[in-house]
Amino acid sequence: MFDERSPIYFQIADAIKNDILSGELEAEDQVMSTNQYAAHFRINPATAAKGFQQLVDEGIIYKRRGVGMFVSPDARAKLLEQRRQRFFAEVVEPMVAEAHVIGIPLEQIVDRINALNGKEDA
Amino acid sequence: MTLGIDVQGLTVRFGDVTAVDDLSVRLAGGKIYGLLGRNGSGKTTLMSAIAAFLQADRGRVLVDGEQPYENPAVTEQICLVRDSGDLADQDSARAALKRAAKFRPNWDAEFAERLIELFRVPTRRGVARMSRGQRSALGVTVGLASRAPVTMLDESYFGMDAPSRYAFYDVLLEDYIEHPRTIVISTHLIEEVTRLFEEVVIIDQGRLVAHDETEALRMRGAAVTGAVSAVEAFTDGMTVLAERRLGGTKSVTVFGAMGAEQRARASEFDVELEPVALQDLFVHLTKEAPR
Amino acid sequence: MSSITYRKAGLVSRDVLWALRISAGWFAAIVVVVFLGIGVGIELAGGLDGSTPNSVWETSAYATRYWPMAMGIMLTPFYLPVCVASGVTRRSFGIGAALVVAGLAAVMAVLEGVGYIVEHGLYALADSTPQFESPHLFDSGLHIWVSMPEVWITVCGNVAAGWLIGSVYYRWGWLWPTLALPLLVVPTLAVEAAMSVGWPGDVMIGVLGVDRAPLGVAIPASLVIIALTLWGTHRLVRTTAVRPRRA
Repeated sequence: MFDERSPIYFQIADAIKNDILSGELEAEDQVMSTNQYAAHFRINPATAAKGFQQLVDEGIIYKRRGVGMFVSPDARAKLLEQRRQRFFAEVVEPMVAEAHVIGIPLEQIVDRINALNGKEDA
Repeated sequence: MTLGIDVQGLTVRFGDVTAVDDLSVRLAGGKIYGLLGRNGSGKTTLMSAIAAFLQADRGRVLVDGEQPYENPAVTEQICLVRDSGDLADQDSARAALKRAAKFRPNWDAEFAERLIELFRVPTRRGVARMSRGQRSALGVTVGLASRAPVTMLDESYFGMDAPSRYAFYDVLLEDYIEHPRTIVISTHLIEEVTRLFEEVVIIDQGRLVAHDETEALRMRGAAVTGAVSAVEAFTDGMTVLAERRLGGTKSVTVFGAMGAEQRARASEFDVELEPVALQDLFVHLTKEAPR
Repeated sequence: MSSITYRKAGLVSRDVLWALRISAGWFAAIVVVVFLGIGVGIELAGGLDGSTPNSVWETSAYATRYWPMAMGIMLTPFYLPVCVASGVTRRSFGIGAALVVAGLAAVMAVLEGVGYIVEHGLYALADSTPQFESPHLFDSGLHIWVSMPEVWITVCGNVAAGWLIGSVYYRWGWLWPTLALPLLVVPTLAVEAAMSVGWPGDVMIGVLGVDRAPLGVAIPASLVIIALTLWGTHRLVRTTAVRPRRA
């Protein structure tokens, strides 16, 4: 499930974020412990801990002493906000740039988006 | 208990061959280290010096601040399994485990039994009549069940088949989590085990080439691809490990931090930055012909 | 020196002696059958009319000397790597090896001493007394309090020399140790020469015409030679590297 593209701890953090976004993990749900995670995915526990620490730093999960780690109440909202911001930078802007290079007028893109949107509404 | 290892200017010679050449490296206690190097790079010699199998010609090794050679309080805390282990040929697995139980202060007999079963090691057959894989498995069993604060496995699990190797990775992690200790694993089967290592030490021709956190090291290598002139301009002044050219496109493997700044520069130069697998990085870092 | 050193040395000696128990048992059984059974039988059945009844058991001394010596030769090459890999220091290994030398010699001393008594009894049944061809510290096979120490010291000298030879080969390979082999067997010859027993004793008394030194001198001298051999080998082993498994 992991690839060579980015540090594994980013990938671990992303995987848990995805679980939260998809609803698999809900607010106040307990997350797997670092050690369980490490053993399950055959990853060095220190590396796994780094991924979890990143989530703690971002406020996505929080620690309860002696109990474990849990999904923050506002985790989903935070993640949605993060993704929304990234959506323009990572999806829209490159698309516009590519359209520019290959000569697709923006109106055509907007039309297409409206058409897709209409289909969805129907 | 976890013990740190401090290698200071270590030199070991065999006749006129210098196996380890003025090597210094410091390994904090309680981590899993991957020791990577080509055949004959000095991995075994380095581990042998740490485990008091031999004496340094120059420099020294400290384990928990003390020199291990002929130091009984330290040597009983260190377990090096070379290849498939130093076992007496006439021994059966039973006898080898019995001996380890006597000599190893932290020996866990139950764990040893579990491993013997897991790896399907025959218990009565003499070591000399075991297959390579069975001997490897027995060596790994002795190495893990010793629970030595410094445990070093020198390509020990190579003879094992894939299912046994993966079982070994699982057991290693599980046992390390329960009983944290300093573990050094030498290997050139890099892909399979990279993720087990917290830090990686690469040596070549008896010298230290790199020592870093595994993920940090992995991110230090990058493949730069683009138009010949752009790639050349971008990589000017960088440590270039390898170059490949196809028509007007050039791909260069560079070694060095690739932070946000470099990424911004890359889009400016219109070149693509891609991470390199540790295996490839290792190959590039150690490909120089032996002296 | 810490107590770990001695504790591990004890473990080493017991481990080695325990590992040798089966082959040592077979060895003793074969020696008894060949020399006491077949040898004495033939001697008593055929050779007693007129000629001197020679001791057959006496010749078993070569077997009970060279087999332990062979074990001594294997000590370092086979067992030093096992010890070091088990976290045992060379010092512990060396002390353990010295204990193995003494232990193997003790087993042979008991075997030989009891054998002399049994032989004496068998000859007595045929109204005869075994005569010894080589010089010994004892005149009668019944003198077990002399025969056992003599055998013990002789075998100690042999096993110690074996350990020395094996350690020298392990450290320096084949060429130089082979050239130095005549020197390496000097300690074991010296032990027997000091006591004027065995064939080195024959040479001392018969060829060189040297009388046996009083026991108060001969025995301490032989013990000193053994101690020096063990001490020297121990020194050598303490700086010996465990060999790489393969090139």
